[in-house]
Amino acid sequence: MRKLEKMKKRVMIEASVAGGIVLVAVGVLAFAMHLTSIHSDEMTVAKNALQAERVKLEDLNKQIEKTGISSQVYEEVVGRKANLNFALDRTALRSVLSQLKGRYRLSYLAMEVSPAEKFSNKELEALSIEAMQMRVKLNVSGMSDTHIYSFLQDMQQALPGLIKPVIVTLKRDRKFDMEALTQIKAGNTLPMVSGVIEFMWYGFKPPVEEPNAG
Amino acid sequence: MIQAARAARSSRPAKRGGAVPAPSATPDKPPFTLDTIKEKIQSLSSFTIGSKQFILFIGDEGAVLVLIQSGRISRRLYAPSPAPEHVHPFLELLRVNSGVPISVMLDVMDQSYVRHTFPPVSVFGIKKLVERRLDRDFSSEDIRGSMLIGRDSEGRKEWNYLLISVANSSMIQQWTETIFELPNRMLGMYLIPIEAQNFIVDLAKLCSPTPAIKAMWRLMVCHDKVSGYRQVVLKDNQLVFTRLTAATSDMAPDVMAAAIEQEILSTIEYLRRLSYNDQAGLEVFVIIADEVKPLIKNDRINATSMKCLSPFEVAEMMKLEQAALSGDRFADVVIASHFGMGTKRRLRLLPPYAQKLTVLYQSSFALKVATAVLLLGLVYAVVMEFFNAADVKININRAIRDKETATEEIAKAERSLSGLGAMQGEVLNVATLYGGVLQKRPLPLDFVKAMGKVVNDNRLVRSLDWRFESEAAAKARTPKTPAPQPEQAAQPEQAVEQFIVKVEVKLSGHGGDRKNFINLAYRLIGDMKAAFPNYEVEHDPLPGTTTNEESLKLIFDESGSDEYLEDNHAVVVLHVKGPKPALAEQPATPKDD
Repeated sequence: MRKLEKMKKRVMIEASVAGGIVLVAVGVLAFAMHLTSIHSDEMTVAKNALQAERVKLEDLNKQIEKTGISSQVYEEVVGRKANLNFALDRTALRSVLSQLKGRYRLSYLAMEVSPAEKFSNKELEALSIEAMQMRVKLNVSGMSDTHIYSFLQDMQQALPGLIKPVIVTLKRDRKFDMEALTQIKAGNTLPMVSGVIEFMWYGFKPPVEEPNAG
Repeated sequence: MIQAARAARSSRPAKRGGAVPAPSATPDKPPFTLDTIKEKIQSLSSFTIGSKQFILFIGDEGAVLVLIQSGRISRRLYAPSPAPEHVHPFLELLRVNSGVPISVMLDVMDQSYVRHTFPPVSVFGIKKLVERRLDRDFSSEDIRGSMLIGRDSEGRKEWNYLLISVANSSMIQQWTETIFELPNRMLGMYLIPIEAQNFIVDLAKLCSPTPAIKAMWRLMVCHDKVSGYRQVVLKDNQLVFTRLTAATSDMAPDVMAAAIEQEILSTIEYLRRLSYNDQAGLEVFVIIADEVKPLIKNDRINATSMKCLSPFEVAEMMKLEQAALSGDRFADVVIASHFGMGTKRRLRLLPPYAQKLTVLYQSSFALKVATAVLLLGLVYAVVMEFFNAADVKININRAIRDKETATEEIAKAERSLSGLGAMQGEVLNVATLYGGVLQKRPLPLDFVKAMGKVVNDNRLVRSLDWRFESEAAAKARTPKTPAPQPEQAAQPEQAVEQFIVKVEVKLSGHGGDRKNFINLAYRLIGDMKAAFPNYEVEHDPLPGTTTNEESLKLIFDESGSDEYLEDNHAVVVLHVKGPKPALAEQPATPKDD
């Protein structure tokens, strides 16, 4: 009977040892899983940080790209304009028109300007400064349509901001006959062609609002 | 039904001939039962490849202990009784080899074999029936067991079992108590008549591999030191009869031969009651001392064949190394060696105490196997987890490196951006404003420039009305609206805005002829369409022409005044609208060639 007891004891010891070994193995496994878990958390943090950096880099690259494109567009605008001021300035409008009236010997030039208004559309959402618009109507008479077209072209270049003509109507008022030729030779500004030019005047809000001289 | 076969001492025949009744159906392969699985598991748990094994051959006259090591007999000891003074060498050898398991072979007189038929219950229920029968037929003190002989293939398909009992005599108890308390594991107790079946079959194959006449009956007589003359009879390789006769070793060879012949003849007499006849064929194997061999004659026995072999010859034939020496007279060691080196076990018996020990051994084995499997799984999981952790760590390092690279690139990009200086903001704003209000939009001067290719000295533009279509629509609503339309202006710009132009062109060079004028007018219209391919170019009805919807009044006279057109009336009114929406993505400038 002693052997039976011994065997029981032995099996118990074996079970204990086996349990201990298994427990140790489970512990090691738990430790390994814990390590993996910690590393997984670290990896999540690292990946998030990497993602954030990538997003930032992407934004910057977009900005660089946009700046590159913008630079091209800006060069196109600069190529078309003599005045690189983009703030809407009625004084400048008056001055430029006055100059151009003389240059193109316009017999008549009158303007109506609407109040400045804020302007926006989907494409202008990226602006960092407020865009403004005014509608300008010019009644004009000149010696020829060529004078008036040249006046219009110079005006687009010389005025600050951007000009978008929306209506141009011209009408030949009289024949180019001997009498007209005589008068022109005499230095008179004969109204041969008259018309209306309406345009939208776009630009930025001036830094300091000046009193309207017009 | 029940036929007890209790071996007889000396020449006394066993009760009712000592026969083990042959089953009605004798399949070579016993049917599969739950016991089969259990035996397989037990044999697996006690499996010892190439290792040592003790065989303790116990008889009424003592015991032989055989140590088998690496397929050969390493040691053999004899003890006449289980008395401490006799078993001391046994215990010493066992103590030295305490980890070597022991199998006990019993060749004692007091054994019972009862064939019993059980009703055709399921394989799950037969075990209980057998157990119940064993409890009823045998004493609880006995060492009992059962062996499935077969199952009827026809009729009720009853189970045929051989119920076996060995009296747990004081001698056996002494032996078992001695063995059980040893540290060596006892694998089981086996009965010589049962296990000798394998021995006889193997011996028959070796003695006559291709017999001329296949004998139905086989009889083996062996002289065992610890028990006496053991006779085992097989019919169709199934145990049908066994007898044990005590023998004295100091008999003269001729007397011993005569005694053996007489025992065989007595056995044959019993066999005749079990349907034995001379025509069925009988092979007789006698394992006896070398000097007795030639004295045993087949004349009286009249067997089909008769082989008398010494233990040494048997060991040589069966390649049982060191199982017998040339002078050995007894078969105990040879039979024990054959059993120990073989793998087949017919029936294992276990006393209750040994059963408990076996359960504990099996529990220990199962525990070890389970622990090993679990440990393997855990080690695998741990290794995989560490690999996983290492992989994650590598990914972290990679992410950190990538982040550092990205940070460097960010720094570069920031430097590039800062290099653009203060102009950057204004450049962006101007470009954005230009893109938002002017870029890709048609302008009147572009139209005028294109018109310049069409007009000449004979085509004088009398008036021009250029306006965006939105302005035309506004004009249609309110003729005079110099003020801007904020909500309209604030609408998202189309990809390309359309404009509408009305041009009045006065033609000259027609000489007042209507037909000439019309030709010139259509040429002008054609030129306009060519100059503005992406625009709709239309014209008002030409002067001097009417449509079918208008009334027509003419005076035909010889002066031909009906063909005359006044100079002031030679005007073509053109309407240009565009660019066409399908071409909206293209630059909105007219053809300029």
